[in-house]
Amino acid sequence: MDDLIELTERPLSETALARTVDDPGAGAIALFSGVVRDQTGGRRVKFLEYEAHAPMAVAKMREIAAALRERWPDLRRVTIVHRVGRLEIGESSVMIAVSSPHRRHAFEACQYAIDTLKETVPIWKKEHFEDGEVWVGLQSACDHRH
Amino acid sequence: MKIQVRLFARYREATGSERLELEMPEGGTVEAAWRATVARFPALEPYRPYTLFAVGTDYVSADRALCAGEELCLFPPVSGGAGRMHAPEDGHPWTT
Repeated sequence: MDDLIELTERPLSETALARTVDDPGAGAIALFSGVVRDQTGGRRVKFLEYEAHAPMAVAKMREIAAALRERWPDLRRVTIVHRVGRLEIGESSVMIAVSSPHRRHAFEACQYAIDTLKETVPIWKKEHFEDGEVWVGLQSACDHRH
Repeated sequence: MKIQVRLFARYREATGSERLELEMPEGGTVEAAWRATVARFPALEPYRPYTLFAVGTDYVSADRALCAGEELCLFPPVSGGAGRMHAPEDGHPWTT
């Protein structure tokens, strides 16, 4: 079974994503969804923009899936999908779904995947506020307020 | 030799450029390409400690020699959680 790894501009659906890891041998499905929040440090967020180095982002997500399979060999199916482009409040930017015979490995693998993704996958997020915008990463020095 | 440099996210916006071509001596390193890029876009200078480098689909270190025609990507820190803004130790990414 191939892992499903994708970068997309289309909205992500929990239901559709959970279905991609369906497996008769699975006793558990863990699904993580990262969602666009309406504020950062008290500043009201209007929307977010995600930009990726697409081929490398996909390659790094594949590496994460491979690392999951090495650490938890009993995993059944793995799906990692990241969205790019403009996202509204409440929409999901990233979803990870893992199925396994028992719940513990599904939880652990899911958490490992999102933590690693945040550190290694070349995707950048720009927060658009009422009074300006900022690339998340380096603060103050690079704040582009209008 | 000629190499291509590609800028992402805040670097693209800070310079108004997404790509540039550099003429470098054979065997020039990533670090040398960074310096040549900064010479063209001084706005990038303060970001050196936070910058990640990549060629193809892999992170590379600052002392890697570049080959003619390669594309060097300059990455601001990836969008990961707050509190992860420490600079990578040797110009290498935050992998374990």
